[in-house]
Amino acid sequence: MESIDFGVLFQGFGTMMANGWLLASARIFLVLLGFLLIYLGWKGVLEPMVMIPMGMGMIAINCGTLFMPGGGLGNLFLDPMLTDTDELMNVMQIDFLQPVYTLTFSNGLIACLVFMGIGTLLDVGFLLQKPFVSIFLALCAELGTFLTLPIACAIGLTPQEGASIAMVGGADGPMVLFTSLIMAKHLFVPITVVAYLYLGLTYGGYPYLVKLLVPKKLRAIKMVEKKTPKNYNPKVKLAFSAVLCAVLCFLFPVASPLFFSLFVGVAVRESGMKHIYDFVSGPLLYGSTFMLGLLLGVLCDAKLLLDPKILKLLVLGITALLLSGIGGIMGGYIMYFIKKKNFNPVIGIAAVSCVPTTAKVAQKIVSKDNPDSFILGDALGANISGVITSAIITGIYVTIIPLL
Amino acid sequence: MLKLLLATAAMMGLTFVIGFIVAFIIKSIAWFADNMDYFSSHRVELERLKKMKRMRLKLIQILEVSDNKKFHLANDKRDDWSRGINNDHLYVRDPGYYHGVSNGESKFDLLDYYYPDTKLLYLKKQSELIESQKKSIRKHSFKK
Repeated sequence: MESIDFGVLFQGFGTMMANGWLLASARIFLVLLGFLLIYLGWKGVLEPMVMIPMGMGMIAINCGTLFMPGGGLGNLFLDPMLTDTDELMNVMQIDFLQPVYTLTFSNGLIACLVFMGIGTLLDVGFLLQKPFVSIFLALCAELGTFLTLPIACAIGLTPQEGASIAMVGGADGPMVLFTSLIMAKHLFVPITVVAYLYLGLTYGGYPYLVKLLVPKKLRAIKMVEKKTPKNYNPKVKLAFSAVLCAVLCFLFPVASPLFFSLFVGVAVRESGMKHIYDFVSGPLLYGSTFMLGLLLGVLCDAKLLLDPKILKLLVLGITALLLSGIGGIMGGYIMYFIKKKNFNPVIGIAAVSCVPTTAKVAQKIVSKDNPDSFILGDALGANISGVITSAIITGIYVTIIPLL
Repeated sequence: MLKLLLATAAMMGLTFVIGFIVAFIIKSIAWFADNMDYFSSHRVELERLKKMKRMRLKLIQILEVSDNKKFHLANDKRDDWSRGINNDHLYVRDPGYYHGVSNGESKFDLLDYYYPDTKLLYLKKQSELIESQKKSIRKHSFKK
């Protein structure tokens, strides 16, 4: 009997030994990171819906590397860098996630499906009550999206790449995916992975930022409403979604798939089509989110960490989110002074999009300091405005940046 | 770099302008909805008033129809039940007399019906006064 090499029999170990210590260390690091993400998702520190499948994908892809017939390293999950159609057709019949990746992820469909699901979660009634305050806060909370662009260019990225990573400041995963697909396709995998990793951090990290920037006395402010909040009729909300979809698609046709997806979600919610609402807000949203997490995890192979731009992207991503958080709180302070101290500045953090996580974070922080203070309505208004302003900035970046 | 900074500032300004336009559109939708709500609530109120008026007219009509005066036939005295059943079908008695009760004007008032003693006292007092007055007239005539 011929002696069988250990590395050939157990190719997971074999590929580690064959490609040097750097790649092996990166793979081990990513496997450990996968375990950490699963743990943090399970603990509720990070968003479990994305983090648990992502962690599983990271572990599987970095352990399941094998020798391909040509002699190189590969896997049986997917190959994100395929461009040749013949080769793609072959791989689609071998790699089990390749069809999902090619037909939903790399064309932005999954981003639109998630956005459609997010639309069904939005109660635009909060925005209809205080549109100027909500939009103002959301515009302030886009500080990171704007300031990161020149920073990125200063450290050597092109304006397209800089704009793609700057979109992390909008704290909206589908928007980052969409922008990077259009503007920096070669970097859209690491940018999207970095974006989702950091978006998971908003739930755990933003409370510390709020506590650092807003004193306890201001966090405990209970706002006094002069007028009783009005409950708008579903037909008004439906009209809102149709009018705003028309206006924004008219202004930015490049981002119209995103606008359409968001407002069609709102329209489904308000039009009383129960079965379609149940489908879009349930199986479609959660199915898309799960597949998105899984694909992001599978895309995190060791080569990603060894990309020379990944460190820059990691730094820029966190900078964008941090600046946006600061901008949101600054907006909250401005409203606090405009409203003569009858405004809780913590609401500003909810304007950093990421529906509905940041709104929940804001209410959680305020409730801890003053259980009688209820700001969720205002926070959701700012939150929804955050999605709209992020979409506007996507439209502006996609339209203007290529002209620079 | 300066060009990029300026472009970023311009894009920021454009975002603020579009953001506020969007806010204005949202406010317009909310304002329009509020107004529609206001008018529709008043329309409901007016419709309710109109309905009430229509019902009142209908009720009046129904009441008028049920009034037997409308069905009062000329020269048919059988339908006048106000003084009971008329058993003088041959009209032997003077017209207007049923059961011996005149339908003419009564010479008595309520005081006669309910306080007959008071009336008698009053009449007694009146006759006394008349008597005393007569006496005093007589006295005066003797003195002269």
